[in-house]
Amino acid sequence: MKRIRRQICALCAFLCALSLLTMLVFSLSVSANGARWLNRAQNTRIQEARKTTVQGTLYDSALTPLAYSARAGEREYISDRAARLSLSHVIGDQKGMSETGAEIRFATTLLGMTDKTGTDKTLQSLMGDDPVGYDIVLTVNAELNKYVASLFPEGARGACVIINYKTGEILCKVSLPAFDPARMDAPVEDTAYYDRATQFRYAPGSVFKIVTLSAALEAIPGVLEEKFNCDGEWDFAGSVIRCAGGTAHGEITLKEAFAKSCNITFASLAYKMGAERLRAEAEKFGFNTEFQFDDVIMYASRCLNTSDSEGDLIQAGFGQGTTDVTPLHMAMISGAIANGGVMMEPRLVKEVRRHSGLVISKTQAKEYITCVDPELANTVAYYMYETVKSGTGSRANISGYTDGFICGKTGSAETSSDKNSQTNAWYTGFLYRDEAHPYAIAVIVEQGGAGGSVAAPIAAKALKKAIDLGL
Amino acid sequence: MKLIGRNKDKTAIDNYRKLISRAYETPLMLLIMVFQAACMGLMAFKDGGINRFCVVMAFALPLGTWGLTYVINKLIYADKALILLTAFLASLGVITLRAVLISPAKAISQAEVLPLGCAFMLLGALLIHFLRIRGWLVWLLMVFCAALMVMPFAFTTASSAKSWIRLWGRQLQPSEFVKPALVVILAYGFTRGSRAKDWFVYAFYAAGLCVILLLQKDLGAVLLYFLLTAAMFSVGTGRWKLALVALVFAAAVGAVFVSFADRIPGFSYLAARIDIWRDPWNSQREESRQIVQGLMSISSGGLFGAGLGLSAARKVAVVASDYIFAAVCEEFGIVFAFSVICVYAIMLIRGCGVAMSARGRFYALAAFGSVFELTSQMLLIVMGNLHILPLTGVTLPFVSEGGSSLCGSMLLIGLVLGVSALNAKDEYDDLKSLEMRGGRLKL
Repeated sequence: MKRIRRQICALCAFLCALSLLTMLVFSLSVSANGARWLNRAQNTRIQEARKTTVQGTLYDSALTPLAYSARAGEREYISDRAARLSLSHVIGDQKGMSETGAEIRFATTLLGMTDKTGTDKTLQSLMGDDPVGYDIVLTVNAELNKYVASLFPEGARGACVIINYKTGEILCKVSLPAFDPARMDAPVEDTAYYDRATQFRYAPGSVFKIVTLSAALEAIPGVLEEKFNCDGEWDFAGSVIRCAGGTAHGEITLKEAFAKSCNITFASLAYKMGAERLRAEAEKFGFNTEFQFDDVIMYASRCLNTSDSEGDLIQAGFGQGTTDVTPLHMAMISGAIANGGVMMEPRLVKEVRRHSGLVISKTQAKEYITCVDPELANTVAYYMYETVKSGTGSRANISGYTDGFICGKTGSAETSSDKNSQTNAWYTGFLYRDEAHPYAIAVIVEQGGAGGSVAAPIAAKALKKAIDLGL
Repeated sequence: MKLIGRNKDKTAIDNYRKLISRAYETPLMLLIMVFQAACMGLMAFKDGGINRFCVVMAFALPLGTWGLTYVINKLIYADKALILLTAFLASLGVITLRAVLISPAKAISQAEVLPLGCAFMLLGALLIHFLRIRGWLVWLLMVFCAALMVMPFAFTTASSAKSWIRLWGRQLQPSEFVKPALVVILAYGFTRGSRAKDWFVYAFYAAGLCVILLLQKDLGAVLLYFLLTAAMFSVGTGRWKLALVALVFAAAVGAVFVSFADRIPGFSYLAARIDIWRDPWNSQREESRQIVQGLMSISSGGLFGAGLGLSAARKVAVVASDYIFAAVCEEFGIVFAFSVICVYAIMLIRGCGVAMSARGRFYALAAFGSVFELTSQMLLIVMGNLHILPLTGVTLPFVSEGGSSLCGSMLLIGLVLGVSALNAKDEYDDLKSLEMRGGRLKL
């Protein structure tokens, strides 16, 4: 009997512990993921609540109202059509066609459903008013967004993201083609509802050399002094690797190879390091992980599966093959280099306010991961500076800018084996050691041609505008 | 107060129990009655008009709770707290069903089954209290249960296996009724001795039931039966290492089974279910909507809930049985949902207390097996709802819609009540014999 009692006691304690654990996991996962679970187009509660609640106002960082409601069931958008289109993926829409826009992503806040204890709702109903949601101030600047969208060639597809690399705030997020949130019945282009900045994965091409370079600096001692030989072509196991335009760079240093974007040097570096080390470095920069950010839904970027061949490895060295990345992630990688190796979590919400204007919560800058150590980041930044000063990124220079250093990297990513199709034009970079303007940028123009001649000028103008606005 | 010396045994035992267990259940009973009346009263006038069903239930539920406690206590000296908590959970089921669903049909049919469930509870308590268990009785029970379990095969069609039978226009699930019987059988079988020849017949019998359930594709029930058998075997025979080995072995077999499920005819849905469970948010499958909507429902209640009848939990597929916990979360809020889990935990602790003070190994094991079964079933479905485990189609005991499940669970709790009454009687007899030997007991 004594033994039976002991065992009953033990099993009872075990089940009680399991119940407690269930409650713990329950509360933790609801508090961590609740907003992500609820803010979805499938959630019918949102549509229901919009009929009875006055939705909160969506402001940009200069407090321009982007979306606002006078009464329940209504929604108006910023009247400037060009600004509205450029902000379409930031704002989103009432129908939930854009899964990542603020109208869906922050719907529970705008509807006041985040009020967990129900005190605000109770007070409002006691006053006899319609329930009113919370206002949200976004980090995005409408004027900058509108200007950047106008920089893209007419009818172009692509994206541009500017972030503050010290705080992670997204200052500008443009995705083209756009849609009009105020006129959802109008026909749109095929993929217009997708946010290219966060939901499209592009082959990075040469901008990925930032990661390859970091990996080489870490893994290969003495790589800085090494000389590389480029004769324009490298026949590796049947597939020929060429440098852009078939140029032979001859005997060059690593710095020159980076500034001139020599594919063969970076392919050989990747080959020397091996897939294991290159993948490990890429994962330090956030590749191959599901991002779980508070404000932004971003698809995972990928680099080198375990099943990839050696051919894929050397392709990955210069960002082709199975490697792909979202533009926002690319801007974050640049930002991490500029920020001494620390990547910040991207932010879209500056503050949440009550209808009366009282600030309920201000979002704090949050470190996401540490990618590399500051010394290495400084070396990479220096190489990127050389790229803009004397290499392929020279058109990213901003005339008259003296507050810091303009660093960048261009890319011209092949999207098909067809020789006649244009490459995707990439540029990513940042303003280094500029306390007043800590901006990092990523630009992609789909099938735009060479990154140095198409994407770099857009970046230069966009950053100039951002500096002028003094964000 | 002098306990001994009065002639009325009933009052004496009652007083004794109050002193020993400090069990003043009246406040608990009042609280539960107020809860039932308040919920039903609120819903009665919710839509402007007067809802007759809710008005009737606003009186019937509290009265039923009081009546059930009164009747059981007239007959035996059962643990009142267990009765009250069971009544609370059962009425919570009716309330939630009425609040969540637009049509009152399910709530009405659940309310109709409640008296039957109470009868089963009483039956279980009286049987274990007054019937002396004997070998031939257990054998009879074993044959009867086996027959009950194979009956659904008569309803099996070529296209799909079934785990229920149709009787008097209602669907009955034999596995729910066999659960309490299995507890009794195993409690008898595993307390005969720790040598293999004493218990192997019963262990094989339980394994056989698991195989039948597997053929009926009721995997949730297989898991529950297996866990119950392993726990009772461990406690009853004391060979916990063997039970642990069986558990690990079964886990390994289960893992292999699941990973090859897409090649086993009839079980391909299992692979899909695991697939959905891994990533319900990005799954293209239709079934993933259940998990997605369930999680939305759970997290949209907030701390204190959306309010009775104000939730959108009806969007969740099978909300009446599998996902009723999600509905409770959204209607009443997370704080209340935690309390519900705590109620099950208290019933477990209380039941284990009954088991530990039982005078016979058989009674101890029967009481323990009953509460173990109820708690593990609760954990399985709650963890499934919370996306911690893949969803198994078992019910939340007492709360979920379904007559078979309610009656089966009531029978189980009846067994615990019977044992608790026996304990009270035994303890009183002890005191009495102490007095007869000349001792004077002052309480």
